[in-house]
This record gives sequence, C-alpha cells and structure tokens, in this order.
Amino acid sequence: MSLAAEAFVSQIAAVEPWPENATLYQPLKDDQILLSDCASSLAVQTYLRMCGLPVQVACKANAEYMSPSGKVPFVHVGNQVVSELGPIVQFTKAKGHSLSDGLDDVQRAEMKAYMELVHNMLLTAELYVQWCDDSTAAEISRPRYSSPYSWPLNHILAYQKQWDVRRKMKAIGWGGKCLEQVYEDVSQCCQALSQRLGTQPYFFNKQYVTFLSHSHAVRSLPNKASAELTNPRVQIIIARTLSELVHHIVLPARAIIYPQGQDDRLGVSIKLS
Amino acid sequence: MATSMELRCWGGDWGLPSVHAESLVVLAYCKFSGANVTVSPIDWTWRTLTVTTPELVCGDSTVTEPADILNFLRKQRFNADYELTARQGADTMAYVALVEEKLRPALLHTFWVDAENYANLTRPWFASRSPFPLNFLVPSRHANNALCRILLSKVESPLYSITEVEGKLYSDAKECLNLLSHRLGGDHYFFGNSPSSLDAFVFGFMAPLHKAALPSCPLQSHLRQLANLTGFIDNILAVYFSGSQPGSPVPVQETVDANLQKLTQLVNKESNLIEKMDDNLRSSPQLKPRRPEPKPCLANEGSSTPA
Repeated sequence: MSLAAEAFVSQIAAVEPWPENATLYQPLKDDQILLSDCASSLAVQTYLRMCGLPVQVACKANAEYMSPSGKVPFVHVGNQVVSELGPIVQFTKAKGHSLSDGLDDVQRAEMKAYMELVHNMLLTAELYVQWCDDSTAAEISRPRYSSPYSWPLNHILAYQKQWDVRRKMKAIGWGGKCLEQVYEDVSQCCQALSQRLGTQPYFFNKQYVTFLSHSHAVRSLPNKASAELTNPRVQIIIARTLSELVHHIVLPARAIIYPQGQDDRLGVSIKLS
Repeated sequence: MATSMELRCWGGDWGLPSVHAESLVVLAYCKFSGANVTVSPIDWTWRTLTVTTPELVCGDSTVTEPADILNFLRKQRFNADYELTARQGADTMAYVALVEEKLRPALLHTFWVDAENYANLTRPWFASRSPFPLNFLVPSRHANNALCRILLSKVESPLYSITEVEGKLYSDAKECLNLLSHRLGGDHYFFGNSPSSLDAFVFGFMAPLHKAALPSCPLQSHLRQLANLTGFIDNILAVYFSGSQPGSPVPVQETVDANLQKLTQLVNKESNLIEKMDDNLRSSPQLKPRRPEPKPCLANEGSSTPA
C-alpha cells in the first residue's frame, strides 16, 4: 500500500474498536495450504491472540485472490481488509493494541532486525524448498496448490505460481543456490535465534518477536502438510538447533492457540521434541 | 596464506575505494581482518560485462556475493568476528538482514531507478568506466536488474507500479537508518572497539550514499543528519582507507595479540576442566582401586597448567 493509503486506513482504524466478528481468511487447511502460508497464518493468529483480540479463522479455496495484496492471510475487520503481518500489526496499533510499547530504542532496533532475519531467511527458504526444488514442487506443492481446481486450470495456476516464485528467487539472488546451501543458511539462522533466546521465555520482555519465529519453527516441524516432503532434512536441522525454542516457546504457545488440544497436525511434532 | 587472493570489483571515486556497495563491504572486511587481497578493478575491461562483482579469485576457485566471500575468508582464518560472543554473532546476522531488506532496495532505487540521479550521476560514471561498446550496455543492464529486484520483492500486487512503493521504500530506509543510529549510539564500532563484519556491511551500504554527489536525494540528507553514522563512515575511511598505510598494520597487531590472549584463556579453561574431570573420576566409586595411579599424573598436570 502507498503511504497515503496507509495513513488513511490508520485514521479510520483508530475510530472504531475491534469488533467481535473479525475473520481471518486462509487457504483450505487440509488439502491446499502450503508450509509458508501456514506459517504466516499461524503468526497472525498468534499475534492477535497475544493481543487478546478475538478472531475467527475461515478457510477458503480462493483466499489468495481475495487478498488485497495477493498474499495470505488477510483479516476482515469491520469494513476493512488488511493482509500480511506487517500491515495487520500497524492496524492493531492504530486501534490501540500493541505488544512492543515497553521497548526502548535499542531493543526496538534489535526486534526489527530479528523479524527481518526470520522473514528474510526462513520464509525465503521455505519458498525455495517448496517451489524451486523439483521433486518437492512436483510431488507436493503443485498438487496441493491446485487441488481445488479442475483440469486444465490446476496445471496452469500451479505452473504460474511456480514460475512466479522462481523469478522472485532469481531476482533476490537465491536462484543460483543449491539445496545444501539453503539448509546451511537455515541452520545458521536457527542457531542465531537460539542464541538470542537463550533460556528466557520470550525474546524480549514483551512477546513481540516470538510469534513470528515460533510460527515458522512450528510449521517446520513435521506435520501433515510437510511430512510428505521428499527431503525432510530441514525439519531435522530446525528441530536440532532450535531445541530451546521448541521447549520454551512452541509448546507453551500451542497451549495458547489450541487450548483444548484440538490441533492434531502438531501431534507428530511432540515425538521429535 | 600461501595462495594469493584477487578481488575484482568496480573502481573508486568520490573519496571511496570503490563505488559499488557490495565491493565496499568486501574491501572493508579485508582491511578489518588483515587479509592480503590484491584489488583489481574491472574498469575499462570487458569484465564489466562478464563478471558479477565483487568476485574473489583464490587459486582455482571463485566466490561471488559478499556473504559467501566473507565466509570463505573466515575459513581461510581471516576472521574479524573472533572476539564476538555468540549472541553478538546472532545480532550481526539479524542486523545484516535488516540492512539488506530495508536499506538496499532504497539504495538501488536512488542510484539506478530515480531518473535524475541515474541520468546525471550513475549512468555517466559507469559508462565512462566501461570500454566501447559496453558503455551502452552495462549501465542499462544494471538499471534493469535493480528495477526487477525492487518490483519483485517490494511491489506486492502485479498491478502496482514502482511509483506507489517509492514512498514506502524511502520511509523504510529512513527508519532503518534511525535504528542503526540508535544501535550504534556513541561508539566507534557496533561491537566494542574493533570492527566486525556488521561494521563492514553497514559501511559498505552507507558510504556511497554519504559520499556520492547525488542531485536529488532526501535519503542522503536524512543520513547526513545522523551525525554518529557519518562519523562512523568517516572514521573507517580515515583509519583503514587513508593514503598513508601506518593506520592498517596497528589493528592487525592488536588482533593478533588479542587472539593470543584468547587462546591462552581457552587453554587454561581446558586444563581446569580436565582437572575437574579427573577429580570426578577419582571420587567415583567404580574407579576407587585405581586411585594411586592418577596422583602422579595430576602432579604433572599441575605443573604444566601455568603454561
């Protein structure tokens, strides 16, 4: 969104309180959603729950096309639609709910830096593994992405998305990387996060950064969507280097999001941790 | 290092050893870590078209991309991050990601996409440093790459154009500069008194913005208001890149001494650990019959520890 549009949205947002019927839209949970989308969706859900804002999750096959920016998830609040974590955080801040008020300038700088690290490294690696690795793309990503559509649309959309992601990877310099290098980068990133966390319950005194990082960590642990990944090394790397993260953040956070233990997707993850 | 290393990069101007941000990162790191690298500028050669700068050639292998080159240098034992704690290493990765995500797109836009800067500064400079007929090809190729990169990573919907994200790009970059300024505070370098790879990255990306004579650049004026960042850049230029060389050997000597100190501390710690282990072994019930034996060994170790 351009700056003027953002300022306009913030102004309108500040006027009304958070409604009860806010809805978060994401692709279909069982058949369609991919690892990276699942991670982003989980991040937003966790953030909203940590702020104490009620939100219902709706799964729609065309969520990506309904989103104003083309990315999932997006929330429908009152008469506004906001997509992606960054704008959603600003939106909730305009309504007066924020998790990072108590941080000083240096901590805020660190927080933003770590968020960029997670976004830059883990999310890009997830996209790379899903779409640039031929076997994963052919066996998992393309079939899952195009499952709601009939022939020939499913082939066209799947290949279009793959071409899009590959072009983006090439533009940012990841096109020439091999899978081993990507795993190495992920491993370094996880070690950095693990070092930063140490033994504290949260990254900073407020819980701001945790939701983003643990959502990626959680998603990267084996679950239904990724258990079939032809090369599950990334899960092993993350589980090994992120043992602190898993114990101090992931498990308690699962309790926050799924208080009745409803989520069976994460059932497999318990065995690893 | 037995084999010599050659770094190919764009030449220097505006008071900088190189005008290319990524090449500057590698040059700065080489100075910080004391690596002996021969710099061969690719100006006026056909390498301006064929080579992705910066490129490090060591024997048979070539390495591109600043992060990979820094890793390669670390493996060759040229490590400017030796004194950092693990947490500072993690912070380095995070801040580098911040700079690459927030600052680099705005820099690309300032130098290559903004029409006035491109026409008056960037294109003439790069065209004048490329041989005929490449002076027609090289600048436009870089400009296209820059535009592609910004469009694909920053523009969210395929229907938006570059103008809508310009404001966001620059506000993100200004915020990034503010955050770096807060983190640096009043220190000379980001971690302690000696420069590390984070200093190299930040210097590499900010120095062209600070020194280039850009006709129109709100980002440059914003940077010039942050006195500690401009002081940081000028300090590195004066200490490591000034014409007289006496500046550079001194930091290397200090690093060597510091390394020696660290090694000694590590050896001491290790021998303390071995002593503790021996104590545990001695007091373990299973090993009681062997008690007379370790005593002479412990005496020997006790005498060798102060080394």
